[in-house]
Amino acid sequence: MKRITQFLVIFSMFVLFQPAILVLGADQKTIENIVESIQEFEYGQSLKSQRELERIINETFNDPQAREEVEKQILKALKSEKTTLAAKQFFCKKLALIGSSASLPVLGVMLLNEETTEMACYALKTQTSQDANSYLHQALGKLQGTAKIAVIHLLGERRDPKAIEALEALVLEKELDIAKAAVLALGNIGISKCAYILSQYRDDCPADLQTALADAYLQCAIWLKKESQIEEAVAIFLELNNEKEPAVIQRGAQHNLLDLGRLDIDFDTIEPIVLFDGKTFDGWNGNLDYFRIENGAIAAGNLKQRIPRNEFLCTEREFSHFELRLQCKLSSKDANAGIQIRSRRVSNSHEMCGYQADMGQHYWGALYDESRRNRILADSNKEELGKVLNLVDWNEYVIRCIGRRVQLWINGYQTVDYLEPDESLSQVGLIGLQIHSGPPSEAWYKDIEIRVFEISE
Amino acid sequence: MYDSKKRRLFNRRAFLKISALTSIAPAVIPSSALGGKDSIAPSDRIIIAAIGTGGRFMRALLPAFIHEKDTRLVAVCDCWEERREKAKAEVNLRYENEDCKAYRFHEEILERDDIDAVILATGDRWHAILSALAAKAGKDIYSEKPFCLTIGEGRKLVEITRKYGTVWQCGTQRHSNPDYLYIIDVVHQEKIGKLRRIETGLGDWGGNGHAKPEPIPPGFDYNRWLGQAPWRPYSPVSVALWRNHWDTSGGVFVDMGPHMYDLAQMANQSETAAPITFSGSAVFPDEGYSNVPFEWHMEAEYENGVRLITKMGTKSIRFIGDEGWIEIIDETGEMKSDPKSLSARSSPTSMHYNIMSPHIRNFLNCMRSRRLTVCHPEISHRAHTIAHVSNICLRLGRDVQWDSKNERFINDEEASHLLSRTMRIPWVL
Repeated sequence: MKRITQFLVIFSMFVLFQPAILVLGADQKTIENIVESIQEFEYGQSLKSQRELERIINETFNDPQAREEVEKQILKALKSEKTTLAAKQFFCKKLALIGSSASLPVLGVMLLNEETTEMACYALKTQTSQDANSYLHQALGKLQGTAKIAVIHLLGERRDPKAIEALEALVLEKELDIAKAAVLALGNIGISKCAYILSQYRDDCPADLQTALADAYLQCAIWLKKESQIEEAVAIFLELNNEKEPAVIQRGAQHNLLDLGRLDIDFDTIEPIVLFDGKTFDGWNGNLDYFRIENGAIAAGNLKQRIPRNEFLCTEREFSHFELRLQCKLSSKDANAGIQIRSRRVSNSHEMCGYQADMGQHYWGALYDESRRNRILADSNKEELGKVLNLVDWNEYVIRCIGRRVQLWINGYQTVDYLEPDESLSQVGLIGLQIHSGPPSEAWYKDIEIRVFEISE
Repeated sequence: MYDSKKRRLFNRRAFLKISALTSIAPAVIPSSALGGKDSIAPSDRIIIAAIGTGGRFMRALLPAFIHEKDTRLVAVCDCWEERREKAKAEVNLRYENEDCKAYRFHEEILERDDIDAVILATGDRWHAILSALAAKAGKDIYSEKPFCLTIGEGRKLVEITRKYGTVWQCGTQRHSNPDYLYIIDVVHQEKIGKLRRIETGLGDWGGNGHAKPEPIPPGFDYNRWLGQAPWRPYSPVSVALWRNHWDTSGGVFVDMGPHMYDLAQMANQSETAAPITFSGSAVFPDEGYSNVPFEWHMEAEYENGVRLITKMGTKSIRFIGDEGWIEIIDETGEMKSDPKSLSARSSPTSMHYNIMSPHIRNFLNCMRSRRLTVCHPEISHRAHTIAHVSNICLRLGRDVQWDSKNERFINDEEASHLLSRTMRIPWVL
């Protein structure tokens, strides 16, 4: 406790006297002196001046003139012959934070000296201007060994499309580490053009480079997928889903096809699990005031009194990739219900959270996001659906979930084909049968079967 | 290189199977059902290697992984000869055989086709790189925290595990500890009313010195040890104080933060986001090798208004609602609460925070089912993000606003410059 009090006192003093420090921090001579005192720094010596410069940098955040002065003095030091490598490394770290395009000419020179290439790359990493890439291009042609690799890595990291040709020229480089770095960078840039180039080399390349090429090619597909060029990505994943590829590459391609719901799974060959036995609620839980079993079906809600709130009967088991088939009907065209998939119960609440294959009113066949985004994620074509839908009689609902893809069919007509854009959402969860709050109404469910795709050992 | 018939696809050894799931039995092998030492068929064992064999591995991970009877630890790797030899001897002593091999280079472990998973217990600067290399080699990964040195590393690792379909668990074992889960449940059940405030103590921090260069001692591969960090000459001080420098770690926030923020995220049900505003102050040593906060106070606020306070003092986490609060003391597992009745389950033991088995069990089960672990990369990355953003806020000495969706700072491009950095060649993510 005592330390905290002390600390708060120090802190409030700092706040009180900040304006005075700012003036001092911005002083040109002070900055020049501090930078000079760091210039000849060797490892193991006092770091007091470095900390002082860092403090000035922080305190001049809103003082562009002082910042310009700090950068100017650092650049002067970086050009000076008496500045040690240890000091240059420190200055480059600071330029990574505050460096403007004024740093580029000095960093460009440092790139060409193998002793300082990596620290220059460290500073250039955060430069937003495209001009930084020109300096990297120039250096690429002049450097060898690890210095060259540092520049290649950074060009890949910066995803510079103008570097593609120069990188391509390095793919067949004799020095394997450089060839591998170039291949990796092409994958990191990852646009269609890179995928095309990599695929050309894959046909005929040294054995040592095969895995790196396949990996970079896979990386291109990952980028294409991320940047909404799904069909191009799928084509690459399908190509790489081949036993001739390295095992980890094939596994990765399959994993991504699964994620996109594009893995070819024949659910008809999978033995179904009967989720509801027609007689008991075994394997299910929910508020039984609103769920009963009648004529081999689950009846949700009632026709006598208002349904005060949403109620769900849900499975005890979670499911991820599956095809769910069931029969469902509503008591009237005004009723509202639905089937939760990949959902969870909201703690301390009667609600469920997750995707719902919707039923009733104008929601039939739509994919709704219940207690999460609270909106229709994908809607059905009502006119087409109307041709096959039985408003107050049994309908067959088919729900197929593979990876982030959710597809819905009613009586054989596909209403929704949805790919979840948010990769961070959980795609595993419970199945729940809903009766929506509102006037007296019933939803009926029967013949509930699920075919589960398991990734197994 | 690899046997195309044996190592393939999603799973560890077999071809992808579309299997009919006809029973409701969970795809789990409870350790209680596994019986004696040799009751698991060798072909069903998960073959494991450890990279980094310092104190964390020797004291916690080695016994915990050996305890799970469906695993076999067959290889250890460390850049300190003495450490790897000691680890190898300990593993072989426990198994009463000579099967475990010691390696200086992780490449030799990652090349071994029989190894299914790696445990990463190296220094922080290595976690993300080794996770990436192991994933690329088709291994699954149990990585100690902090699993990333920067927010950029964290995001890349999320993507890398998605690229290869890797099963990856962060070593934030409190996430699976029944007592912590009990407290989280109390919060979710709103037994403290609506959650308003989370307060966590991260303990104390310190240690400093001048890192004077010295000759590298025999049996120590310093270049390997240094890894991605910018080059500097060997000094026993910089090696001992690696947790106290931005180049190799990030001080107390990345050391204890990932544990505590993981719990905060769970309680607040914001596992895939982070607070939006960060405001704090810290005292940094103004001299010496150490450059991380020695004293700190951090206040962050989530989009839903819940405040997350990070303090000094006893390692603990307290959840405050508008009708009460509940707290757990990290070292012992002791619970405190208002009303008192909420903490009825408290059963304090020393090293309570180090109950490993449920967390490791979850990892091994997920290796078999190919599902996401409880501390999978995305949620772990977000918990780590809170630690890293806090550090950036304190380093820059100004309040920052965080955009979880785009993973950038709002109206502060300069702060975003600290999101990632280049690595020393040849290391790359």
